Amino acid sequence: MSDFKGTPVIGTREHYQFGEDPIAQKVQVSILETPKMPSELPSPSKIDPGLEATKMAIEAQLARNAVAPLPLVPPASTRWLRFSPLELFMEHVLARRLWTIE
Amino acid sequence: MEHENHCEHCGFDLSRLEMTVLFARKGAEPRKLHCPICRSDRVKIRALERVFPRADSGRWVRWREGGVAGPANVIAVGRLKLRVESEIESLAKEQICFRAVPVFMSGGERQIPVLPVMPEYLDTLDPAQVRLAREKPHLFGRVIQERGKSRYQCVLPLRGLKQTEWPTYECDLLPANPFSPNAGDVDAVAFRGVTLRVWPNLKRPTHAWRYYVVGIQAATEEGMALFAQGRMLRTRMLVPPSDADGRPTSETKLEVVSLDQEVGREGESGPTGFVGATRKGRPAWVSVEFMQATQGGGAEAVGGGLFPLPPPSDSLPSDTWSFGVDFGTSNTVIAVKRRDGSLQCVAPERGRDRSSTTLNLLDGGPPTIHRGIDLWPGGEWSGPSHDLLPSELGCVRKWTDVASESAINALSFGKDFGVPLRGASSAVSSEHTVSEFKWLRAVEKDKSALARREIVQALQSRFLEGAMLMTAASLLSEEEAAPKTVNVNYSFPLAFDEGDLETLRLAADEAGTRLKQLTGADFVFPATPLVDEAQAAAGHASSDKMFRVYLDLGGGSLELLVDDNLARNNHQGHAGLHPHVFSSSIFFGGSVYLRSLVGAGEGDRRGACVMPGVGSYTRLASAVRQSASAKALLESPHVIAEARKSTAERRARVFIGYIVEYVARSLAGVCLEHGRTAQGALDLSRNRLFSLSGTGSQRRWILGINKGPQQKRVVEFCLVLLGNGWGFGDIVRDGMKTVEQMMAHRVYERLLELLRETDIAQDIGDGEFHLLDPRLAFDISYVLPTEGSHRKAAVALGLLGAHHSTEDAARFFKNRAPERHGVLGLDLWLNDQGRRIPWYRPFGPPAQDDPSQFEVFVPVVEAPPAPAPAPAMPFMAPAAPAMPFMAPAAPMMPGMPAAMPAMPTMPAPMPAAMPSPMGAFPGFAMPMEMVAFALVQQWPMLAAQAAQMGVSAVEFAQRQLWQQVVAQAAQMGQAPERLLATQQWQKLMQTMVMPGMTPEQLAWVQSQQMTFVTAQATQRGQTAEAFLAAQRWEQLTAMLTPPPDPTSGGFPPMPGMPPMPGTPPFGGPR
Repeated sequence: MSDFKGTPVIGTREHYQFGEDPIAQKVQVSILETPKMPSELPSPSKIDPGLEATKMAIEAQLARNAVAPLPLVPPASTRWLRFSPLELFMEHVLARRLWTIE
Repeated sequence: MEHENHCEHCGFDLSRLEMTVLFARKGAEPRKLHCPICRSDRVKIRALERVFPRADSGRWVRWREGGVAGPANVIAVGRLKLRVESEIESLAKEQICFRAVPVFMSGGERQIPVLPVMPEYLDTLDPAQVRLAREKPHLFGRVIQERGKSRYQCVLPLRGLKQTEWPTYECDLLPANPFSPNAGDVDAVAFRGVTLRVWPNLKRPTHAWRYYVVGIQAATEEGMALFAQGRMLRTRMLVPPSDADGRPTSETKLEVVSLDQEVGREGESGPTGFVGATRKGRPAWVSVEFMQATQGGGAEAVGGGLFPLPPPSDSLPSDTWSFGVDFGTSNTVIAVKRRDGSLQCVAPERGRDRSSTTLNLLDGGPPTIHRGIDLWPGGEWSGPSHDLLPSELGCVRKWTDVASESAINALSFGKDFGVPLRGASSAVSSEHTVSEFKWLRAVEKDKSALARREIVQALQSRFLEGAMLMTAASLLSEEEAAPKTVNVNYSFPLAFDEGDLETLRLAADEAGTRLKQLTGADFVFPATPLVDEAQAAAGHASSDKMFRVYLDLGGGSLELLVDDNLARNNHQGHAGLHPHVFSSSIFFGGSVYLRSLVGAGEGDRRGACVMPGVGSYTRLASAVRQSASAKALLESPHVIAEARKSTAERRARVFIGYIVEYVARSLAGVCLEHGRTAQGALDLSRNRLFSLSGTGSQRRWILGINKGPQQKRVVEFCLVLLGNGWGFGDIVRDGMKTVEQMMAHRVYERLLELLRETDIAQDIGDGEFHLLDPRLAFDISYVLPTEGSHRKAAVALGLLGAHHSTEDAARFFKNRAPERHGVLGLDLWLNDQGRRIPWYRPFGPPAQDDPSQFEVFVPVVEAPPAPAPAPAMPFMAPAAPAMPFMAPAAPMMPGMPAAMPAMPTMPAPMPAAMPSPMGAFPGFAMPMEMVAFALVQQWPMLAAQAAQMGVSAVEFAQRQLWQQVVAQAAQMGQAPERLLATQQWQKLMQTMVMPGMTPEQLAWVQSQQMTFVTAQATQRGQTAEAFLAAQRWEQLTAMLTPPPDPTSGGFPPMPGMPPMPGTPPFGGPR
């Protein structure tokens, strides 16, 4: 039902920005492949077994700019993340492997 | 005679002066003579016009016929003798003219050179007559029949001679076929199939435009007579020197610029022509010459002649143009704003009535020889509307051979490089073309040698320069007024990173500088691009749907913009919200599909579906441009191998299918957008599906909007497809009429599936409807391109749209999102706290709202129930890590009247499901500071209402604020005093607690703080809760003061919010 877990963040004025916990600068991210793709489309894990290439793209993104500056982020959101795993998959994996579709 | 050699000041006749004077030159010019009587330099000596020094050699010459006679180094002026430093050369007309003159068949008519003079001797002609020959060429040169032979005849206006003294020059015609005799039939000896052309063809050329390209070429096999055995073709343009304003300073002393770049050379074959370019001004003449090798290893002219260009006008450019440039990965569209405000995409050469951008001095007819790469700037652009300029650059050399910034900048447009409008023949290596240079990362794929930022910048700069030149040439071939200033608006894809954006900005800057030199006009590019491409498109058209979804699928990227139409028009509670809900961009354009057809990579045909002849991306892209549709492309046996058609179609399904998925998930994200309050409650304040509906007491927040006579509840999205990448959607239309219809259908189906699979969808509601309610309709409509337009035109037109120059620009574009923002799309698991972030959550900082524009909506509230007595304070628990105030209500707040001020009579009670005040959504607790801020923003209205009620404005505002406190507390099941105390406690703790504290540390801090608060409250004879609530109330009411005069210092920033960009601190200068 609810995706809200954990305690509300409390902290100094500077840090108290989120209804959800802010993300640490050094965080490890895993992809859970949901929602399911329609049956007529190959899923990301079929195009990218183990989503290895997608993870690499995400890690590169995390190393570059993972988290938005606090002043730019409204409260109670997940907007501290600066990337979309689906977009990264389409840009970095699907775009390079579309030729493997037979 | 005496009037020819006298002083014009005192009338003294110098020919009567018996003396010999040493008459030296000063440079190439003779020194001025001064009158020995009055020292005036206004001395006119007729003989000095007949004996003159040559401009190039400086040697003195006199005409053998009709000139003045005398000793070899003396000019006799009556009794006066002027002795020059060297022997005066005697010149004959045969020496300055070609021995033979060619005749050309041009457009079915005979065309001969206007003057038969060799370029080096043009200065020996009378300047006024040379000018006349350019303006009225028909007065000079003709073909005559003489004793059964055709000959060329022309009157030579030799310098210094009187008109009656001008000799007639006659010579043979130069036969196209050197082995055929001149039997008197002019047409038999004429050259055919030869094109001599100049670009641009300005309708009213001015001195300001300085860049010209001239080419001579065999259009047909007959035209190859230009390169007949034993002869060499040499073509040169003669450009007058000019002053700072570009005005020519001489008609006869011209600079010679060779057409030295071969064209049409392919493999072992020879060239089919030559091309040259000048940036020094409009050529006056083009000299076509035929040379023959001499025994000494040199070459001598055997024939030739001069073809004139009409002179430019003396007017100065004064107009101002506005361009909107959609610099696409595969194609570029440029729109222009006319003087009457109308917008139009530039389509050069469209229609027969339109003037061509190429001026044909000789027209060899439709070309049948297609060799090599054609870089000529004129001609039709691509696409059904002829307004697509391929974003490609061709070069006469391999691009890898000019892989440096300086080498690229040294190339001349139209001569060494250009936009290959007609593509390259199959024999030309793809190394001569470069495409997708909008993206460094695409160049890395295609031509790694060019994959450096400064080289990409140079390529972009040269392309923008060429595109602007071609556009300006197109307009000037029809418009008379040349521009003094050209304002160029351009956009960028949000997928650009900072480096990409900086590269484009610098490229535009460089192009502007170069264009100023070439055209004389100031091409003003903004310091940074105004808007991203999707936003630019959004400015082009209005809408009556809740959301417009702009999907720009270009060659390189897919731009997505979900535009909130209610916010754009300040409707239904969305005032002040930025219209851009989501705005994102991915490097996933039509080239992804095309590259998949080419195979694993350039030169690696694994997985390829295309025939080997189109085995490179550039060739395939060229084939796509020339194809009527993507479906036709797939059916073409020359492009797609028969056995691979089904695979090619399958890839198109995956390509489009993932785009549908991306769009559907983004729209689902709009529907499911929410946050959480610090208490964990659902916060829907950012969900754009809610709108304020009804009037008066019936006004309330609803999910979606009521539409139609039945007032059906609906959520509307309207798809606007932009960009030519959607052409690939034709492959998978599956019977739908248009790609737009197909997309709307698929997105609708998939959106509903996604919502049904999401648990939270049922939580998002207004108390009457929720997202999965079958009575709530989802309307996914679409907009078709306007008649005669196409999907790519909207961005360029949008850049010139009216809103970019109005207040809208400041409202919506100044506060645009700093980077992409959309939905995650896939679930994420973060290991920091073991959190799962669902796929529909947004990422990226949003566009900035304008809280001052928020609609103040005060719902009706019933008087709060009497507060319950306070239980024992929970604060004293020494190590309570949980937030305090979890117990029920607190006592009446001290400092407040025992009974709250009498509230105005409310017309109706607040519905149970209604949210808290000030535009909040169900479950959303609007910060009290924002409520107070909104009240202050409406102070004049508030003061008027207070006056009606007979109370002060401050008191009335306090009552309003208290209403909000009561309503919010009621929603949370608390007493208002407890709510205030809780908020105050939280504020205190914010200042005390540091991140990274352990629970034990946190408990200790809370305990210490509570001890302190309790002690203070005890001193005042209050409970801790009453003390905190009073503190909070005082802080809030302190905000309820009349706002300062906006003209003196503006409104203070909203408490708890960062100051708005561009807004000075309170009281500071604006």
